[in-house]
Amino acid sequence: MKKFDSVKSLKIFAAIALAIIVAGAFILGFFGYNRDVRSAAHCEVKVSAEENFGDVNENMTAAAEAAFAEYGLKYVYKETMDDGRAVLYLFKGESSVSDEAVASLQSRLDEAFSSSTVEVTAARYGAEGYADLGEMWWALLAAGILFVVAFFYMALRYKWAAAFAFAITAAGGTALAAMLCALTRVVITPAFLAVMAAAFAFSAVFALYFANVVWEDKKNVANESASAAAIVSGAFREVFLKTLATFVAAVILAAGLLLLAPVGAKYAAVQFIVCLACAAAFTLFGYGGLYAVFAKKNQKK
Amino acid sequence: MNRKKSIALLIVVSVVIALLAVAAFAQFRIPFYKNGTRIYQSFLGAIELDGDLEGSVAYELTLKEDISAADTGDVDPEEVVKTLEYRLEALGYASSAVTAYRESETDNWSFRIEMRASDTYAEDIEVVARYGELEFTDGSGAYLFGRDMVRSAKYIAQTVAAQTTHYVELAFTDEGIDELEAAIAAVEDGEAFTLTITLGDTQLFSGKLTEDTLSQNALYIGGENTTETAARQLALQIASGGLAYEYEIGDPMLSAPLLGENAASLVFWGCLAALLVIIVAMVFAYGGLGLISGVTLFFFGLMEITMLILVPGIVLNFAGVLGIFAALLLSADSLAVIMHRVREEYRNGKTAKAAVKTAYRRSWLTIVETDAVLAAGALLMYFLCKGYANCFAITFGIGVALSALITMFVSYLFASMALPLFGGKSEKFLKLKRAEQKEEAAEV
Repeated sequence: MKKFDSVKSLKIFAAIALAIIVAGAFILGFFGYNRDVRSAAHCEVKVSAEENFGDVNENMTAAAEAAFAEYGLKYVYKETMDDGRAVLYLFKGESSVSDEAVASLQSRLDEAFSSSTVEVTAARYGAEGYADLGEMWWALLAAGILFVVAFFYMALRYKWAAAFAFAITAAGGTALAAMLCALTRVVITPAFLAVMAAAFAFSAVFALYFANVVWEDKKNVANESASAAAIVSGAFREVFLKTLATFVAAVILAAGLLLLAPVGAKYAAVQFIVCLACAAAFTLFGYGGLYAVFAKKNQKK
Repeated sequence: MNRKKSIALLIVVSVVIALLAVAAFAQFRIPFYKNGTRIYQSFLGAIELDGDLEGSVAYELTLKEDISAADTGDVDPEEVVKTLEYRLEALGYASSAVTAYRESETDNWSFRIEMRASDTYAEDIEVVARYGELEFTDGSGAYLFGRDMVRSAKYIAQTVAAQTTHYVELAFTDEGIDELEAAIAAVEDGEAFTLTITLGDTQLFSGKLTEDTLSQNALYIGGENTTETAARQLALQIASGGLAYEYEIGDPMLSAPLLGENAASLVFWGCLAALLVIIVAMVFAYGGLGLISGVTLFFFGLMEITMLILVPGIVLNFAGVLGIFAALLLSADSLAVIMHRVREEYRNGKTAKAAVKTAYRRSWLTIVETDAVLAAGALLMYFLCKGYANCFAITFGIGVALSALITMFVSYLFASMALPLFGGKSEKFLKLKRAEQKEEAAEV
């Protein structure tokens, strides 16, 4: 069976990953993440009645939506609340719904129903709404400290070549996941930070396993005179099978949410699959090649 | 282990798993205690859920109408948001949201609070929005001192003979304690000194004190009749004082879970269905080894649910669910390492029993080093992050610790228990093949 050439695959993978990261960074810089409406600047318009109308409630909703259509307003979320007495509409952008549109909606409803019954209120929210991603900096600090500790642990246990390959794999896998989410415009919910933490964790898990298998193979007397690239190629199959098994399990878990869970959880499931795929790809096509390159440099020295 | 011992152990393990499963999924009449409260639900039903999974309540705080915007020019909305967030978090609303808004630049700032619909949200919002100066007065209403003489106010619980009492430990500055002692000493013999603590218009505490009540510059308020919620609320109000202005609290607006209707049950069924599919896939791919790993994963799931009940103060949100998700995946990953190595050892000539033993010994360091790195990460996230990320760190951290213990010890126990049951057919049960058998199969 033809052995996997990790150094050759590294070059191709690095070019693809770099292109995605640069494109993702570009999109992120100009447009930011495609945030869930509640965690971005938005406007909430609430149409509420003093009592539950029953069928009339449908007319209230229809009248409200007709008024929105007249002003070219498209809501992104609609929720019936207060035991059916009120309907909440969410619009993207803090000033997306003008005072004039709100007044028009109120007068339409006043005409359709007795004036004291239906009330329209609008509230505008800035970007620092629910689940601000400002927490990201603290999560990054935690990841940074862990990154440094794990790097020195790898250097002590598996030598410097493995430590450098681990560092690039863990950071690269996470960066690729973050930028791919920006590039594909996946909807970012408050759980995104948790998904990114999982991406970092699994980049580290996969890379650590690769390092462990390579280390064991290196100790094998049969590989005494083998080059680092040859050892990595020999270890690839085992790492590939295990990583594939974990990835399949992740896809099954995410599919469970995609099929059964509500919309907000579906977005997180998609993010989860993207992150695990990036972590797995960076390990399989990045770690081995990087390790071989660094080990070769060390040997030359 | 011989066959008899193996069967006996199998019965014991089955009973333990069955009991855990019943406790996790079925409601029962035997109460257990969580945060000092009797709970009659199943473990799963008793898990406290956040607003994104179970629904939330929203309040609008608007300044009292008699205060004009010109008079409140010094109100920094960011400061008020921070204070409100701090208070909500202290009362256990970790991923609540506070937003400042106003209709126009000449209007006063209003604040919208979204929090989970807990049992005590109506009382808690009163505490969060409380305003005014903190004052310590004596029985006649004479002012003694203010918040500047308070060093700290902390909630503490003391358990003696299974009875938990809740207190607020109120520590004063040296100057504060001198003032208090002087006030107590000034009271005529035979009469007791009454200390009253007020915040704005609200009386927080009133009780009789003697010099003996003070211990090492601290006063302990509470006792048998004080609930945990009341003690926490009191500690928070003394520690953080009041807002600068009085806000009117609007009617509560109860809304469906942020993730959508029936979010909690749908997420649960999604996870359970996925877990079962993973177990079936494992059995299909690895035979008996997969079955052992599947039972181990199921046991892991039950233990994680149990830990969510046993560890106090966990309020589960969707990020927390993702933490359990990631930990479950980590367990599956560790089990894949072990299963692969068992196959490898057998292929290279070891007996099934020896292959299992060696595979576990070889995998030990691989699994433990990975789990240690991740546990350190979860611990760092727990201390540095709050809100959503914090819940992820808690559930993931617990999951990582459980994963290390369960994959290394419990799954090994299951494997050691299963092998004698199948005697000479254990290779077939574990779907193991020698190197030459594999080559033959490949040639065919």
